[in-house]
Amino acid sequence: MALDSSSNSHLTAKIKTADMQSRAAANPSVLAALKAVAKRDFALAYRQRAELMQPLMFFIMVITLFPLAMGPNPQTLQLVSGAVVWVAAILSLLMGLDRLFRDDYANGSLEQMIMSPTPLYMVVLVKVITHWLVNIVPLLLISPLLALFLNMTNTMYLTLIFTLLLGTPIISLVGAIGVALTVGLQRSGVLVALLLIPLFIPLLIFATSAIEYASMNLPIGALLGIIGAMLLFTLATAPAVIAYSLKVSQN
Amino acid sequence: MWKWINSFAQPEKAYGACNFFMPFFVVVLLVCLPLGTVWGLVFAPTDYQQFDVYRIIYIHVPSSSLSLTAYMAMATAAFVGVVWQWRSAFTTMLALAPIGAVVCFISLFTGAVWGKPTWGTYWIWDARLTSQLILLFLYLGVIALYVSFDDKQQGAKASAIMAMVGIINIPIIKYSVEWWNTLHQPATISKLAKPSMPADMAIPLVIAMIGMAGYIGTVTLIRMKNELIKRDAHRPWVLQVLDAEQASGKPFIRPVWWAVAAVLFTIGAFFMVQQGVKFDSLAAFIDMGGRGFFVWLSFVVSFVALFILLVLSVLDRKTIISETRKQKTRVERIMRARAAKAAKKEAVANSS
Repeated sequence: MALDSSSNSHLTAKIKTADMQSRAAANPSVLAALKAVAKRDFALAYRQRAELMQPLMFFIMVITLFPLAMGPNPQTLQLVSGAVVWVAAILSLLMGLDRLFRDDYANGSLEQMIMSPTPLYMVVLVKVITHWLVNIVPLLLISPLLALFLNMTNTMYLTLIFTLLLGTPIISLVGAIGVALTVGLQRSGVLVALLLIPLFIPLLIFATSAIEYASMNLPIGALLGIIGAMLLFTLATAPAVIAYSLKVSQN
Repeated sequence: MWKWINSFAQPEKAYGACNFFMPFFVVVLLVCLPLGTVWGLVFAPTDYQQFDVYRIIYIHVPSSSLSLTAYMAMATAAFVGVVWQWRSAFTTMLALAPIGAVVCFISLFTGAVWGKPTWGTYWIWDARLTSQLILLFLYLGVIALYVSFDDKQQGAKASAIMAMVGIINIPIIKYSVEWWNTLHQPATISKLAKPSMPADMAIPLVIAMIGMAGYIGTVTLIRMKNELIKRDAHRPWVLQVLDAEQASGKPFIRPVWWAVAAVLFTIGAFFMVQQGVKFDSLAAFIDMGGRGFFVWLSFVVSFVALFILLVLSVLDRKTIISETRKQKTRVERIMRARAAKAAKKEAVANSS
């Protein structure tokens, strides 16, 4: 009996050291794996660029609807511009979020990512960042047009860019939780929106207030600071939650 | 200690714990909810500013504060379920979600009905109303997520994550909405003005609040038991427990508890009656100083909603039990048929 346990502990110790060694050796390969994930996601996005354009078109069209619905009075448009752009941005980003894990889930590569020795939360973080880069850069490029459409002043426009830069990663990260939870469901489009929209309310409030403050030439540093704090908090916690949600979905 | 607590992760132990705690909550519900309501409606003094319409407070404030508490309880259960992998904790969470949603709806509805005579409008984008509405959305999100899963175990886990994400967001939402409100509307209204209520108004409020907590506890336990039976329908302990309950023939809540409830209620009623009826006639009571419509509407709708939820939960139990029994007889029939077939085969083999 005693012999048994001692040999057992010896064995586990051996396994442990082997594990540690392999982990140490795996360190550079983690980076390589993450790079590969990023590369793959960029390549996929590039190949599906038509699909990528759809949320962007949706974004522009929603914004076009507002002047048509409210009348073209420049003052009114300027007053609501921040709110309109932000609501449209949240809705269009929600539409695009679906792509984050859906294809990977369908073709089984998500399972491989979960099984791989690379920490899942890092993989997920890289995926979310690439998704954000691919989705938000077109949105930022198109935004001068919106400033023209909605008669924004220069300071308002600059603030809009800043709030979008700080705020949209929050949408991607929190949204990824919702997408990860529902990825196994057949039809999850509306459900994701139902789950996530309440969570974006604080972001919406602070972002639109910053634009409003900017239109009145008030200092906006504090508001941007709050959004930044929210971003840092989400950045620290969301990847782990996304990883766990993916494991639940994959069962 | 930990081992003892952890034993309640087993469904049968959790079921037993439900049965153990049930009488306490039932007594609290039966004593406090009627007492607080009647006291508030009849025996509490009339407000010098809002007159009788303020009596909506005796359903509005309990539901408002407890809807948030219920969410916290739900998220705590979700946390326990996810971290320690307690399956019974998920059932608590799932039991609480619809109750919290109903209580939250009651809070919003009575708030709106109270708003019409006092502020002149049903809805106002006040910070508390807005964050309460968002709380309702969060509840509905958790329920919608659970319902859309076919695999209920997976759905429970997913909605547990959603509940936890929600609880982190609730303070952020609350403060952001409050801040937004001060930005957009300079304080035109101060709800109730809160100049520390006099004791004879506050006591029935506290009683009504405890009664609402008793309601939430009772229905949570009923629903949790349903959920436990439903999930484990194929496991032997369910039928053992159900058969034992049927065979013992004891009333579900022992007479002792009824007696305790009666005594407590009498004591409460004694103090209540000493306050004196605040209305001259029945007509004045129904009229509520011209605001009878709003007061009665909020109370009737609230209690109908609470009652419907309770009845649905109890009926749910009946269907689940009968289905479990049906399932059992079906399995037994199959086993018997199989045994008969085997015996026949054997007989044929023997004879040949």
